[in-house]
Amino acid sequence: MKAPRLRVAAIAHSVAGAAHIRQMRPCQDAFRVESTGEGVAVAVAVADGHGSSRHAAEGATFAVQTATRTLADLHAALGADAGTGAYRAQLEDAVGRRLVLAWQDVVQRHGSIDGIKRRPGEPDLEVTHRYGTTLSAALATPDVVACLALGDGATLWVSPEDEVLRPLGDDAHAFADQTSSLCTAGAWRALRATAWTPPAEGGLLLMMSDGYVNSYPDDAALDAVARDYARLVRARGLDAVGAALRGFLRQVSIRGCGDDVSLALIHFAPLEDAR
Amino acid sequence: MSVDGNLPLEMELPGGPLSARPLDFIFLLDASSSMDGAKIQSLNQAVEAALPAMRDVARDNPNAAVRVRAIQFNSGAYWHIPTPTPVEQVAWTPLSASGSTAMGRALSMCAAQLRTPPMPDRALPPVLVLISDGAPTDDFRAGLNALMAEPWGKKAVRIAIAIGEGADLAVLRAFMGHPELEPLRANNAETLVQCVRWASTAVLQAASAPPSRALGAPAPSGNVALPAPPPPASAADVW
Repeated sequence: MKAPRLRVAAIAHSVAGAAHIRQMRPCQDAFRVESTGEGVAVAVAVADGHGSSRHAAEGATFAVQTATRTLADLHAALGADAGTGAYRAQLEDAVGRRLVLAWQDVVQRHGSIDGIKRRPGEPDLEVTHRYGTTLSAALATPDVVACLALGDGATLWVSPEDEVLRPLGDDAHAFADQTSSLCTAGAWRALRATAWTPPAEGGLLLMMSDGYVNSYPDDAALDAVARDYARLVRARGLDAVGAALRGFLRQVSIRGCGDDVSLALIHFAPLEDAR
Repeated sequence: MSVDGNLPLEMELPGGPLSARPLDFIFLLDASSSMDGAKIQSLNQAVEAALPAMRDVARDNPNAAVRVRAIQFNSGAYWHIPTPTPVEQVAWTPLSASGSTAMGRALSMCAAQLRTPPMPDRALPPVLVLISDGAPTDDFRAGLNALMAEPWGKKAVRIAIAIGEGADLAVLRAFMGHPELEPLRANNAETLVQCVRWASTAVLQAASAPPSRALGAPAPSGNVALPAPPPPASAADVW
């Protein structure tokens, strides 16, 4: 086993949107951070349940649970020394399909236990559509960043030189209120995934729900957000940013688009710099 | 810690200025000669009367930045309010009526403004309200095709109000493209006020926070789930 050169740590949070609060609707975003690989790795996920789905909040919660478990299992199966190529191959093929089917299985079972019935005037939907959600998730080890996304959330990487990259691109199908979703048949075909080796100087991965994305006018403004988080983490440490994260997200929702807002940060710090 | 939003005083929110999502509301108004007299006067009054209620809706939905524009059409089509104007700043200049009914041209002009850019990617679905008392005298189908060729045109909440008995309902239905909702009928000044008010408040409210949904999932009729429209025109018809 190689000696780790980076320390990996993560924080995440979700807050109910300002518009949701005004309309007395619950937060339908979810997040999860799970340590794995004896603490040297983390699996992180954020999900954004569709406002049109009656059980969106549960769907998002099941999504982050399923994703972090699936990624932790992948890490365990591949071992600590697997290269990015092995992760990429798994993510693009079996893992994506396994994740989607596992989530659909969980919501089908929840739906049958919950005895979901159609309400008057409600369209006849597949059970999974009542739990519809997007998902962004990542597995981070000192040697690998493996991430995947389905739907209109954003995944940004800030390099040590403050360059902002979008390793997964955008959801090509998302427009206005429509997005790719875990709930659609064959959803794994819309899943975007990649893996790479983090540089020795570290970096910051951000995963955010569309409530964060839509609170800024364009990609350039969102890049500035990502760079500021990277600077803040370097200057103050991840824990200090974590303590402020809920307040940040509330501000974004109040002064931005009003939707639920989620953000996860995964920090790769050179061991000598790690706080 | 500050009280509002629990931000630590010494830590500023990362990034630059935040922005509410733009919601474009565009009136497409018939100002042809058949509208001359009481109809155009009532239309001006109805739009002007709707503005305070629109401002109230906008105030109650601060996360949507409502921007108003208006096109008038007669022998040609012209921007009456050419730039997207925050609803708080809209002052209505009355229209006068003359000429023919270039409705198709008005739709084409609207379509050009729904292209991205100038429309931002992260906008809310626009609301288009077409009000007419007659039939198009130009190529309506070409205008509608241009509108529907734009993703934001297709995604727009499109409402039509027919003034009087001479309005071409088939054309207005085609504009709306709504499987359930019919064009609203205004046969007197009072119902015109009600119809314009509904379109500019209830519809605006519904469009200001549309719930997200999965691709391929059954969509609400007409892009956004709309509240019930006002009851049909009363018997006291004057037009």
